[in-house]
Amino acid sequence: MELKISQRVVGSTVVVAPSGEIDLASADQLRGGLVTAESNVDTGMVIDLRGVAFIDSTGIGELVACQRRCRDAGVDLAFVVPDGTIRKILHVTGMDAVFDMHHEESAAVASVTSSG
Amino acid sequence: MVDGAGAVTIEVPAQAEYVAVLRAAAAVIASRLEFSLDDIDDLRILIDEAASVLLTSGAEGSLRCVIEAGGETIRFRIQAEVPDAETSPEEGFAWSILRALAHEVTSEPDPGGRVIGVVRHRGPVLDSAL
Repeated sequence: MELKISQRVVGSTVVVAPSGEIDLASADQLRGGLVTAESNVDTGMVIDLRGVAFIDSTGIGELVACQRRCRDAGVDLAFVVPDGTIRKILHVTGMDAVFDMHHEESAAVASVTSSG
Repeated sequence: MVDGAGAVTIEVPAQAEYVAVLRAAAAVIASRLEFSLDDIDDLRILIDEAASVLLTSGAEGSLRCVIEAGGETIRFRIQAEVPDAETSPEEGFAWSILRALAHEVTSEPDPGGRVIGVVRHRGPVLDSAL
């Protein structure tokens, strides 16, 4: 399944939504999409993973790198993660304790807005 | 393709683009054994991570994968030529995932390179499946 990355703006927050499968073959594309989105961000960014059918360790590494770049740039980052396989993998890798994860986009947007 | 106790051998080029083929094969075999959707998800990620470990170790040529399916268990081995077959840095997210979702995972040098072996029984591995 091909990876597509869309970007939209909700209030003052940039929401990036990858859709498809994130693996070793598509991780570079994910990084490109995230870096592009980061360049458009003022204070808050949300990565919406609801359209992601599969993510592996390579993809998680890209999300961690994005979080690090955001932190260095003073940007708040939150994630929309539904129940299911993606949330399970983030739990297995301990990332649920590191990422600001929400079930709904509204909650994720509110999180980066209020803490900014 | 799978009669409940057969082995399937798949050989794909050692390139990231072909890992999806291995994921799909694992999913088909597990679904024919009527593994649960959660188990199938786990097998997809297990085979992906095993292949990714070899690819990021610089695997050359092809990935040779043998999937053996019994009634309650799926085991697979992926072999590839890697530049340094003796070294296996078993750390990082990939290994966290392999250890968490497999009942058994091994990484051994092999005359032609390195072999990652995974055993997964039916049913969740995690105590608190989400």
